[in-house]
Amino acid sequence: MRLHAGLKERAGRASFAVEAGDAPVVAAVRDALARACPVLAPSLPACRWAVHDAFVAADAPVPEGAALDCVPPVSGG
Amino acid sequence: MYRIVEGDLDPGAALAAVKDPSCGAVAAFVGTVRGERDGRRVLRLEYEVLEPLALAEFARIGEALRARHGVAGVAILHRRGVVPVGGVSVAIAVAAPHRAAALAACAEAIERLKRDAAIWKKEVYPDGHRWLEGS
Repeated sequence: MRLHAGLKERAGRASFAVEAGDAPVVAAVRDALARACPVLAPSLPACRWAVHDAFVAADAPVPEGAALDCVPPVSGG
Repeated sequence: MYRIVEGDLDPGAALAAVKDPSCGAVAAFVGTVRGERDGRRVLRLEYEVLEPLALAEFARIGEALRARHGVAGVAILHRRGVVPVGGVSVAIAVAAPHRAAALAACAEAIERLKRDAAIWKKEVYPDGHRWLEGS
């Protein structure tokens, strides 16, 4: 799981490896991240999630070995 | 043309990329770095970009503009890294047969970029910094 921008700064690191059981869905990985890094927990409900170059839903499966990007509310422009 | 740019961003590159003899209108938006927010002095911005996701979003925006507005050409360029006050952070150009479609599509492009593209800005102040989320 990869962190970006403000989340990365708050966590003090750019990635986490979490245990979320066999064939987890995005929400299970999100909840595992909240347990592994409680400082991020309040921010996670507002985040979106992406695998490769596309957003994925909270109930989508996370492909084996894939990096899940945690995407906090964006602020480009 | 969809690009994440390191170093100076030339809005002319976006205009040049959408030139099309079938079009009578090119609309452009150029975003620049403001030197203050809510009365607080801003020294510079630092942009972080999740590039594969951001570029895929630019392409989705382009496809949506073609489908909804019938535009012929779309260019979206965005900076990464440090941008000084007054510097160009984003440039969008849209070419269409007529002005109404070009203007509407250009406005839609920047709104969608600000809502969905995986880009974040850090505002640096004289006494600290802050990552903006959702603005």
